[in-house]
Amino acid sequence: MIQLENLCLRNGSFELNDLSATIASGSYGILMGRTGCGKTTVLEAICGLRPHVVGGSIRLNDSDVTQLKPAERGIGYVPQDGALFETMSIFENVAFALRLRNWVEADIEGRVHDLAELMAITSLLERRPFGLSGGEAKRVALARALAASPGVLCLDEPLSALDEETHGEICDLLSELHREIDVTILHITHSSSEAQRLGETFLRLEEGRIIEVSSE
Amino acid sequence: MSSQLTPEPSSFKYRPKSDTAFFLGLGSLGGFYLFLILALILALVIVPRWGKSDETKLLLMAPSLGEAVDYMEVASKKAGGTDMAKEVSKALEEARQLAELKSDGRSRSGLVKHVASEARTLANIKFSELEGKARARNVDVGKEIDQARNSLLNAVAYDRPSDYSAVFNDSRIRSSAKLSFVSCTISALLSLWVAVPIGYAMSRFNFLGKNFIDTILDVPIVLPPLVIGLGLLILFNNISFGVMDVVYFDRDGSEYIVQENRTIERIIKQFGASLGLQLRITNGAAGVVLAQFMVACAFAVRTMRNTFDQISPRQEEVAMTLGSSRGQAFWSIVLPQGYRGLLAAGTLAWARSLGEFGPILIFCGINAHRTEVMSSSVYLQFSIGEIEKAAVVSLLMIVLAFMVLLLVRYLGKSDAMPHR
Repeated sequence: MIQLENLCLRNGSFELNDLSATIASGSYGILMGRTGCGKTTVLEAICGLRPHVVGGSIRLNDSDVTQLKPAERGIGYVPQDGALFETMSIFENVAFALRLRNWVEADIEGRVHDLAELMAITSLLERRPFGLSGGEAKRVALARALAASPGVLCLDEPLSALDEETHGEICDLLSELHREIDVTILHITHSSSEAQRLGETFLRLEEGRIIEVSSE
Repeated sequence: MSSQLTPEPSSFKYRPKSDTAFFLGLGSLGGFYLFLILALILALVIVPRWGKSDETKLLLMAPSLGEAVDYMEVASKKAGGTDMAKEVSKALEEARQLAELKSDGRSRSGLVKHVASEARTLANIKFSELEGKARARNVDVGKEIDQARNSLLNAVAYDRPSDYSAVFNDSRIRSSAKLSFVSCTISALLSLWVAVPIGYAMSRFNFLGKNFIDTILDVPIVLPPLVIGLGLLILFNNISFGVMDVVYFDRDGSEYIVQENRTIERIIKQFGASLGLQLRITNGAAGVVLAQFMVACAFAVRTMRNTFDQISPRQEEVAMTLGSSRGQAFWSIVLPQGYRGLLAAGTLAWARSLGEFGPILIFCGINAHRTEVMSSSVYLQFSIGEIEKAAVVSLLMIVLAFMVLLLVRYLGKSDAMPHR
């Protein structure tokens, strides 16, 4: 579950006040809004990436994470550009979170191969991120975010800059993931069709407030 | 609105401007600078090969030979009345004959060879034997004979095939080359050690007074290097933290204590002495490294900051959401990506250190085998009129710098450097 309670965020001169919203546990939440309205700021605050929060609280799966470091929040994060680790192979990218948790090598290999199969990236495991197509990069970023079984998955416009065919494929993949994996998802998008296809809870950020809408 | 454009485009024949002038400009400006660099290197290569004319060699030999005669005259006076008087005056006579530089029908080049060969024999065989005898018979002329020997060998040194051999055989210059290489490498490593954390902090964090700190970090870049040397000298030797007892030894070996200012240099010396070490910053090799580091580090910090600025923080942020601390993200994500910048910063710091002269001169002086680096050698050789030797040392610096730059370029390329 993702729960924002009277959240106040400040990023330089940009401010968002009194944001409240709830995405039920295991639900697929969609956050929409105009460009520059602060969607990414909200997502980054949930991930704990910048010291934006000046008031209110963020609760993830019933625990207050407002003051916790990003590493302690149990989240998976896929930024808009994927941000794959350029100096590592795809295998090492996906295994990154597992190595931090001191998994034994055999378990890491098993988990990485399972995720690679799910995301259809097995043939890419030995490559480096340089030269991957947009769709491949998104799949790898998703696999990396899911490796340590996070309770919450934050996706910042994961389907932007993809061609129509790849867009459809990744949409299907996200839909399948949501069915198979017990994870609460917050997905930022500008696309109404994408929201309709994937979303269960629809939020809109307008004039500094989050409002829940029935559908997009 | 009319569908007809005014004027009608097809009535003009458009021809794009030629790029000839643009490329000529590029080529001539770039070529001019390249030509200057090559001409400069060529001049340094050619000058020492020209060497000196036989006439000049004889002119340069004459004062050294004259010095040898002077020393032997003193020795002859001292030896008067002893059983060595005869032998010393015979040696003096031989030195005098040599110093007259009589050609006896020889060509100029033949005379140079003859004088060099005779002087070498006189110094290495006859004077050496004489010195040994004087010591055995307890006649106090050893010092003068030794000085005469050195003067003769100085004269011999002018008969050399080229200034290259003179420089490469000069232990003082070899020692300065060694000190340059070692001190530059240490100061470059120290610079990186400091520049990486500072560059990262300045690139990633915003804090109160950041602009002020940023300006301070750039001060060594804009400050004349001499001023840095002066600042170091004053900091280590003129700023006093009270007084302290300093032990001195008299000529008879007895010690006496004098109260002197407690300067950083003295504190370091005292600390070293308590450990049984002779620590010295001012006028020592450590001071050379410090003077080089003070300038080189500022350039390394600027390079590292630019490097980190160019690496998107997004990857670190993703790593942190995956469970890593900022430190782990830095070591595993940021630093491997910044290795080219790291190499560039290291190279720049190394090259700056190699060319550093002003602060070293003021803070450490030019002491042979201790604080003399290659740039100091160039200055020294030039100031005593040995332009050819100065050119050889400069060439040595160019070769050293070229090799290091080449190595770094190789390491910076694609897969020569392991990614993790």
